[in-house]
Amino acid sequence: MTTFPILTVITFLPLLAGAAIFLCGARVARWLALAGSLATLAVSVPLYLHFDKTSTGLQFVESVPWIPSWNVEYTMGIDGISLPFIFLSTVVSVLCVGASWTAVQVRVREFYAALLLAETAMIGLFAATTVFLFYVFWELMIVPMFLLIGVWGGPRRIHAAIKFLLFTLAGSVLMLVGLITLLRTSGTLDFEALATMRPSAQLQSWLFVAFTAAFAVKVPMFPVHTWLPDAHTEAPTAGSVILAGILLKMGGYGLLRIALPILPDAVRLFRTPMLALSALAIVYGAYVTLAQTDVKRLIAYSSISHMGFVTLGIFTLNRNGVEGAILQMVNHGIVTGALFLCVGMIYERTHTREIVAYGGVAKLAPVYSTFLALFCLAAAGLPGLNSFVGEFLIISGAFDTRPWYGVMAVWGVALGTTYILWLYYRVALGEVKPGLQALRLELDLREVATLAPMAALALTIGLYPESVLSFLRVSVEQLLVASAAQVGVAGGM
Amino acid sequence: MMVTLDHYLVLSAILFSIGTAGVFVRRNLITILLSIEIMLNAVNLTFVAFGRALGSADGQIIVFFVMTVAAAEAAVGLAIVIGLFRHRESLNPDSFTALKW
Amino acid sequence: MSSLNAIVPMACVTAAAIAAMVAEAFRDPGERMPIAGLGLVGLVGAAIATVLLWNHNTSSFGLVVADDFGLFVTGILIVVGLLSLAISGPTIDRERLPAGEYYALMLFATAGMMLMATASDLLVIFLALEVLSLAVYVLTGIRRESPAATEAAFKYFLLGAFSSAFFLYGIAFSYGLTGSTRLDSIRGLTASQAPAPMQLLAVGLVLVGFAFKVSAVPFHMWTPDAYEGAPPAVAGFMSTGVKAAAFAAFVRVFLSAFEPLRGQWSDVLWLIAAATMIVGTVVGVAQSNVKRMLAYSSIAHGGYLLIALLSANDVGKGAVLFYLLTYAITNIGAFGVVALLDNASRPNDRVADYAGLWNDHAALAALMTVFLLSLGGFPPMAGFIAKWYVFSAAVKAGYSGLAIIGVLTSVISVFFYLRIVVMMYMTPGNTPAQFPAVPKIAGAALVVSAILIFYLGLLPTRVLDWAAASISAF
Repeated sequence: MTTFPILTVITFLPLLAGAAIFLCGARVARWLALAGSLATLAVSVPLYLHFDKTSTGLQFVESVPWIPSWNVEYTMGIDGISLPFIFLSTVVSVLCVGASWTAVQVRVREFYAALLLAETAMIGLFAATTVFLFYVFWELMIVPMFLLIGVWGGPRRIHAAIKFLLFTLAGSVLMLVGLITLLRTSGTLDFEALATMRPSAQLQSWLFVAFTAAFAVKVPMFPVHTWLPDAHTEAPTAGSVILAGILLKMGGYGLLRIALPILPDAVRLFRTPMLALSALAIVYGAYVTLAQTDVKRLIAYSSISHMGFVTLGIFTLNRNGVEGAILQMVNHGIVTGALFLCVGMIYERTHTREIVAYGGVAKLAPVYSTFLALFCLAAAGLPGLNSFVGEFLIISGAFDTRPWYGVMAVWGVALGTTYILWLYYRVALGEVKPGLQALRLELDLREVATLAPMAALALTIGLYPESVLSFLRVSVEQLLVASAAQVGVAGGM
Repeated sequence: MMVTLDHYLVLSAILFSIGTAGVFVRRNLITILLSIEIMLNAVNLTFVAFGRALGSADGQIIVFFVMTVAAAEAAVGLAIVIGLFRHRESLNPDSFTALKW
Repeated sequence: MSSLNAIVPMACVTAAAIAAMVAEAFRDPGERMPIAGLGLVGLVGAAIATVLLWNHNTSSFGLVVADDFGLFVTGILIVVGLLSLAISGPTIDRERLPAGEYYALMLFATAGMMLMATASDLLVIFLALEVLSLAVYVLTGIRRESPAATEAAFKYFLLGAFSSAFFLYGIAFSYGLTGSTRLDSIRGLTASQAPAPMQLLAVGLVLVGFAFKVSAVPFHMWTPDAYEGAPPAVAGFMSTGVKAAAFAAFVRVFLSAFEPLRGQWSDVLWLIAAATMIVGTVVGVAQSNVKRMLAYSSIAHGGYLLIALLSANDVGKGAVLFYLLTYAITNIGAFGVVALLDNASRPNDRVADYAGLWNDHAALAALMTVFLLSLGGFPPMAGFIAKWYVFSAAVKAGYSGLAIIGVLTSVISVFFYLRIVVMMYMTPGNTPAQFPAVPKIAGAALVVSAILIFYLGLLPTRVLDWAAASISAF
């Protein structure tokens, strides 16, 4: 299409901005970070304009020999599955810069540098087309996230950061083992080349366990989800938003990118347990959410439930399910990210996350409450807002293949409506709590500008889901055909 | 009785073992150093015996190298022992406890 | 072919060492002399000689071969020497150490290491081993006022001398069986004979000697003590230079002279490698002293190097060299940070002492992070590429089990590396400004190491190709 290495530029522009922040000093750090992330967003616009929605292959491909003696190349390229995630990464990063404008007062330079490094890692991960590069960015993400939680987090930040690290590393070590094995048996690490090979069924199973362990930690699936509530609760607002908005998606993306096309037999073998764990995550997550008294923790547990929909959708292995899963990931990034932004904004004023400390916020801060209401309704799955579409697709996908899991998912939706509306009720409605009277709770212009894009996205996707779905349709079909055709050859399950 | 190569080798093996045991068993730094010297001299004996059996002078030339090295080693070792003695007024290795073993 | 060319690099360094000794003799008490400059000149001379000798495969006296393998290790040793000189300055000033002796010993040790890396005769390897060991024993105990330092020197000396006796005994048996101490003749004769018990004894004894020097389990006990007692700059020098030289000789002896007996020693080495990695990491987790922690980490890294040695296919031999290079730069950097934090009144070497380092010395904290992450094998640092190289060599050679142990232990090791990161960034310091100011040269050396780490991590191709090419010769 074009010889301009657009993906490389998008990936490393934030890193450059981060380096510039270090050189220029703390005073301009915020502006530089904003400029860097906005520039990244701006440069990514041609991706959407020139993306060929009918092509099945990778687009905007760049390939440079990196370590020729190992047959490792630096190749980047995107298809319809990666595009929404790159979009999400660039948008969420801008909003994170905005959300931290006043919240972060110590070590501002380092904070923004870490944030931008994280952005580079995220975009790079979604643009990588070899497992090697994928792994490099996967690991690169860990360090800035660890620092974001551990340095700028809440009172129990060290505990949360170490727990995050423990789980993530345990996952990625298994992935590394899988990676080395894959390289040895296949001789290549390129996604497209790997998809045409088929390791033996037994090896596939081992590889599936190794890779899925890494992805399951990131998603996070039940029962390796326990790091998430801690990390979410203790992380600074921007950290929570990145966690919810993008980091969790890395797991789902990995399943789509590596597990489904490369290990199709194993996917079918492990399908039922994966579906069961997903359904368990949906229902269990929802029930635990109901019991929470801390706003951030509540949203964190709701994430587990919502991400359960994603894995459920992926392992339905049909078009509705997988498309719904991708859409759900995008939606979850938008809605949960926005909810964390809302919580962060009010926390800056009240310095408490306990739900009982709130009440009657709607009377004091009507604009804020409007936004909160919109995002709560979106999270609850109200038709016309974005989450509805994704959840609907996933549930219909589930009913097509395994109806009982669809029933579980519906149950999860019902519970989700309950906890999120109950949250809104307790925070925004009712009597005004005494402590809140004296505070200026209403949003300022910067905060409105931070939330407005999220609201616009929620509405756009809700009313016109084709805006996202049209990009991924062909790629998802291709993915399902590729993984199904191989099963046919094997005569497998 | 003919004294064969095997006899030399057995003797040197015995000497080497005595030296090794000395390093572990003895509780005096000077004796431990001496034990290491015994080990090196056992090796010297081996070299000479092999050299003679092979009919080449190499073995004996090697011994000169080893003796030089052993002398240098002894010098450094004794210097360190003196340094230790100045700190602890003792030559018993059990009294050196600044670092856990 | 009796040319002297092959010994030029080590001759340059030896000349510098002698010059340093003479300078010390003529130095008035209290006079400052640029003795480190002499070392710099010697090492640069060695570097030039190394570059000129590259690809010429020269040999001197038939005992020293400057093949590309030896020259690559010589290059690593030059880097180690230069970085060690740079980070030693502050220690010498603060502890009022005799600069001439210190630098002379360091340079003599470096010359011994270079000889060890290029020697092609078991006896010369032994001599080189003693040259470097004797100098390093003294360096370890050079802080004579400190009981811990003297004790560390004695423990190191005792076990070192003990192990070199074993090594020598092994040489004696090998000589008795083959009538030669030259590696190529030994190889020729062992290949033609069926393995005799005495031959296995010879291999075993030499293996014990090497295992001590590379601090492989179960011969590692001296390592933490020696590193803790030695000045940090010396510990950095020891942990990298001695290891590089010993591994070079280890590879040369086992992959040339004893290669025909591979079937006999590979299982033993497998066990040693696995035990080294496991003990190094597991015990490392329990350490509260940074120097001891780094000592156990260097033990574990020895285990990864053993994997590379064991999987001695084309990939594996190159991996030894690349791993040694990245490990040397990284570890000396980490010890360099420890050395710069060393304070006249207190060593600041407990993990807890690093609390709040970010507030006092943001740059040092950042450098330490780079070194620790590279040791832990995080991309895009050099450590990742090095580990990847080793593990893929192991998998290719059929040692998947070792590769898996390696991957698992390197993840465990990340926890103790990151404990320091947690301390530096996330824990407030108890009493501010205990840390001395950072001297320019030492700081610059650390920055250069960090840049090299990123260079080797991001664009490793050129050095990888050098490493791969230099092993194809032998």
